[in-house]
Amino acid sequence: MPRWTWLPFALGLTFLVVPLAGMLARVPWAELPALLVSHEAVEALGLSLLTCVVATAVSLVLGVPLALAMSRMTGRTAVVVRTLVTIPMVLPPVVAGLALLSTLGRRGLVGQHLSAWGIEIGFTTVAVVCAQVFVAMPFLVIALEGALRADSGDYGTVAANLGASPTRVLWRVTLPMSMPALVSGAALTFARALGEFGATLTFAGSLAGTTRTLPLLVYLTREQDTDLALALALVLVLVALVVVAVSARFNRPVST
Amino acid sequence: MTGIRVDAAVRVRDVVLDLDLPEGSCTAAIGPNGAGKSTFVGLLSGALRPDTGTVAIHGRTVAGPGGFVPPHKRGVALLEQRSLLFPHLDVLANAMFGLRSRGVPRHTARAEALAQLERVGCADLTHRRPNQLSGGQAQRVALARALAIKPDVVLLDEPMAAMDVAAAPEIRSLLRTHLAGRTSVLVTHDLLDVLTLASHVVVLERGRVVEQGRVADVLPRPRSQFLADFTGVNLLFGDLVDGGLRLADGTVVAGLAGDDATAGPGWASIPANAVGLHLADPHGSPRNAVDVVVRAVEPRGPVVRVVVDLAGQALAADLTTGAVAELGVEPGLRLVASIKATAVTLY
Repeated sequence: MPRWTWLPFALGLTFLVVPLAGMLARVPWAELPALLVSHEAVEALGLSLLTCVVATAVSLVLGVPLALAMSRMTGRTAVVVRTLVTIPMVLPPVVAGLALLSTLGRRGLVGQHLSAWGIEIGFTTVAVVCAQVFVAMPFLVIALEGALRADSGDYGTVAANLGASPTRVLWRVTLPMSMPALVSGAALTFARALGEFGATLTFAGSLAGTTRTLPLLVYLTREQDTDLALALALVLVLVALVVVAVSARFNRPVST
Repeated sequence: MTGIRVDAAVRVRDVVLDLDLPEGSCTAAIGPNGAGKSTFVGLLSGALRPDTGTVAIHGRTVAGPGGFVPPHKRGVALLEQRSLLFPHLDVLANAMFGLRSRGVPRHTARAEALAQLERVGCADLTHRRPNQLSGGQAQRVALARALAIKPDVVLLDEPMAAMDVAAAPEIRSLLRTHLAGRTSVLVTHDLLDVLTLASHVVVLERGRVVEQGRVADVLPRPRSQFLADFTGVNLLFGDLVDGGLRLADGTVVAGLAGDDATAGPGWASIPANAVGLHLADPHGSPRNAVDVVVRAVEPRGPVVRVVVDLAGQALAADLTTGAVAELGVEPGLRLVASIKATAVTLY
């Protein structure tokens, strides 16, 4: 590495670290406990925790089979399916929200039929979960698919020859062996769901206690109650730290 | 026939197999790369479905027009080059895996797995993780895991190929003990494996069976160039006549005919050390003297192998470096080859 690259390295790192340091410098540490137990904060925290746990669970239930199927695909099909799965991940979140609204909203493609049955999704807690799953599940699928593809199925073949049915191979060999990727993918999914803002606001709105998650409350209070916004932001930063740590700890393949 | 019967084709790989393996025999499958050995193993393990034909194991059709038995219902254990021990399980759990998969209760499975580990000399490794084992230990545990399910058939796909020189003999002698009386198939590139482990041999070339039978019958009388090279002898093809083999140009190579030699197309096998090369006919009575042209020269340890052209067929002679220098051997040189008639087997 040429010596001059240390300069952009230092600049880059500074640019990434300074804003966080600047925010931490303004956090009202003394009032922190009081701010975090305020009704608004507890409500938003509780809602975020609930929706993110549900969204991560739903992502696991739907995402694991998706990743399994994808890891067995080859050629053009694999490229097409992977592209489709990746799109929600890179889409501007507001567009994701719009897409959900025009599909599952009251007058949406699917939503109008659900409406006729008396089921409303738009602007409910369910909508929050939908928005989170839509943007966050791809993180799990992509992480897991990579790990499953690398293992190439040799262990599954051995297990089958020893008498394990395909279901037992899945539970006893394939999933345990891809546990690091599964945990790290789930952590990333949880983090992405927790940070969800644009799609949630567009599809679920910002109703206190129903759809107003942590990021929405931070945005709402950033001017008239900066202290609360900063206190909540700190919580989000801490969660991000934990997720990065978990992800780094597990994102190593099992040595064979 | 209660052993293994394969009469099946896999079209995409251009493999058409027709073979019988007796029950309780260890059959070595040999052949050049891409000859169909993996396809053969895949058909038996259930990793591959034949396009046409049937595969039967101990009288039970496992693949054919009547249906397909998936790998986990076959009772065919597979031991590969890599041990493929499950990295997330310890040695004991690996050895128990097959039994637990077959619904054997935990305590029974544990006892049987321990007994099996004991038999391969790994009883002291039960709580190790696979990444804490040496290559030889891992392969022994893999053998215990495979044998624990009391398989009907054991498939060994070059089980010693990835092993270091010190560990291979250990595994070979373990296999010799544990394969005795079991129907097994051993894919190998090693003559020593065939001689020490196998009772039968199948030679595959370009997706076809070119030779099969008992090791003692097939190996001394190769009928394919691959097997001749494998066992290190020269093989000539021609017409058997009284006391010799007539080659395409009319040259007759005299030799000793076996009991089963009959007039017509036949072979002569000649050890490379029974061939001498001279500038002129040495006039020795028990010897054949034939005109040859040098094709290639290659050093082989203490000797130099000179491959000559005899009526369009290759004949190898192992000479000392001194003899090669004296003759001035180079490709294109015309020489006289003398072949001891008593060393030539006709069949």
